[in-house]
Amino acid sequence: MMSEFDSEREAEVVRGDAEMVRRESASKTRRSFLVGGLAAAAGYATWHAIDQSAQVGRLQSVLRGVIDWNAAVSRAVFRERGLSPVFPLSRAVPLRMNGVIGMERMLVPESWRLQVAGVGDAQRSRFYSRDVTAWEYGYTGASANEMMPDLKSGRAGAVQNSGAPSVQMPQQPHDLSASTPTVNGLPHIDIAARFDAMAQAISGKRRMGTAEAGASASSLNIGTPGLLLTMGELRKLPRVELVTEFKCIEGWSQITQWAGVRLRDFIDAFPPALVNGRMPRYVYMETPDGDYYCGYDMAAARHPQSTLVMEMSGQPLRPEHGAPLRLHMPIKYGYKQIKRIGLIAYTDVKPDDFWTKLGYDWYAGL
Amino acid sequence: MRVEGAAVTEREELRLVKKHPRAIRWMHWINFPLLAIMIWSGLLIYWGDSIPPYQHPHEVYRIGIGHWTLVRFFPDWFWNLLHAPYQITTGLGWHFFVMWLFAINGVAYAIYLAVSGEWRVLWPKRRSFVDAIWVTLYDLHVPAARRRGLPPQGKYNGAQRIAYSAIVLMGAGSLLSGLAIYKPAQLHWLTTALGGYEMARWEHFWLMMGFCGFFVVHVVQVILAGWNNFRSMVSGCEIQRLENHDQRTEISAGD
Repeated sequence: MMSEFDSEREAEVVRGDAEMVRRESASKTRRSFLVGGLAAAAGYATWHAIDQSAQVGRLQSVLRGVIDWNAAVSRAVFRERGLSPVFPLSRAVPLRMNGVIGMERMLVPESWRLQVAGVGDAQRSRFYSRDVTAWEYGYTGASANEMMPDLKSGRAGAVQNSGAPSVQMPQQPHDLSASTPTVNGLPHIDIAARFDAMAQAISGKRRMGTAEAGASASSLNIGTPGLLLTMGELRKLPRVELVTEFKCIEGWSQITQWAGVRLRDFIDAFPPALVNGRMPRYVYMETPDGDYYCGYDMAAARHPQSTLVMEMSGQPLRPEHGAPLRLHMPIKYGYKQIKRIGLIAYTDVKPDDFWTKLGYDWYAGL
Repeated sequence: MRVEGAAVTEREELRLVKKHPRAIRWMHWINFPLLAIMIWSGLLIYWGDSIPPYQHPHEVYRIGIGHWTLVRFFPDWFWNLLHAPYQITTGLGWHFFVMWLFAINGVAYAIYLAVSGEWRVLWPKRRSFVDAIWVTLYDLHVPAARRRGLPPQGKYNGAQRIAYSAIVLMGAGSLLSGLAIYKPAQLHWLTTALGGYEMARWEHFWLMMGFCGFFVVHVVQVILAGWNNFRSMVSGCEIQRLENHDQRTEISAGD
């Protein structure tokens, strides 16, 4: 038995008189506690420094930096090649409704058009509009909140528009001083645009981006040319169906059936203007009121499972799920799967993103 | 073998013996705050499924079967104690930062165990499982086990071998299930192997609960084992009686 224990390597440091041995041990222990204490203090100081670092989009800059670094690692390792698992239809359930930012007012379905900006050779398209932002979306009196009573109210400002104006009130014009020309190839702000802005303010166009995260830095400048598409045009693209798991960052997931058209088919049908002879890096989407907005890199947008959804659970898309058009992107968390899309813009500048401003990850890749 | 309150006379001969290598002590103590941050930040994320106005049924973080739920995690007083409400982004930020440190420390520990041969004193032997039962009964003061005495042991007894090996495997399980939750599309094969996304989240959650349970038992056992044992995880050395050292009698008296 001894040999077995001897095999567990152990080394005698010192032996002898009890007092001497204890003194030796106490000295070692003191030294270890001193080093350990210093290490603990250094650890605490590191924690404190990170915790107190300046916030970038409501997240400590160090943590934001690591999240962005994680995204770079993920992109480098995976290159968005992985496919999200698909499931048999029998496992699909109706998806929970989870938030109405950008959809507080009921949209008049007939008034919907898809604004597309950054398109190549837009002038030659029969859907060309010299200013897509001038399109007026119609809203009915009913507030979305009246139809959907159990909304999250905990996140301050997320859904606090139960008294949202049913009649569009004249509000401030676009804050042109804050908006920067971030969409590639688009004209810079000029005097004419400023007059347009004033005209629109007078005509009663609602200010964009009134939800918690504020206005998007990527919203189009007034006077931006592009396409105005109807649902009929989108339906000409090949219809696809998929049953995938929707994953919410709040910690729940549901398998749901989706149908619509592939975003990559859309991009191929309405291709972006090239930037230095290549595709622009990003795609930006926004609700008609500009309250909710998301950015995607082109690889994610062109992922074969990224879908512009018109039907869920075998039914036409419901208002609370973003009718008439929403995004399903199973390689991203739910907060990137924007509902009620009013604008799709190609850009070479990393687009603004609603939840990124509120502490979440821009990449959000699964 | 533990001898509580052993009286040691001035004339007695003792010896100081190296017990825990420096690397293990460092990795052990570094792991403590890292795991604590992982659990704390993870709880901030878990709170997200408890957002009060939703009243969503808990499908993962609970004790229950089907639609029947016995316990829902966690009660409001616990969340409030932790200041968890609406701290999801703080939780995500820390979790996805410290995960690297936790993983590096864990992998370094596994490599050290393998390379140094230290795994031999840690990994359970065939005998360890029977020993563990006797050790547990002994610690629970079951008369028969007390009469029988503790089984002979090396650095760790059977129960310790099993517990400390299990905690290493649990750490590996947390890394794998965490990865399966983190990248369920790109690493779909891993997520599928763990039983799917929800199952991976369930596993991740219960491994966390397991760490908490381990922590409580571990701290109680360390307190019961006494200063000489605790000190060996600090200084690396343990004081032993010189005579009769075949039985490796430890001294629990302080410095």
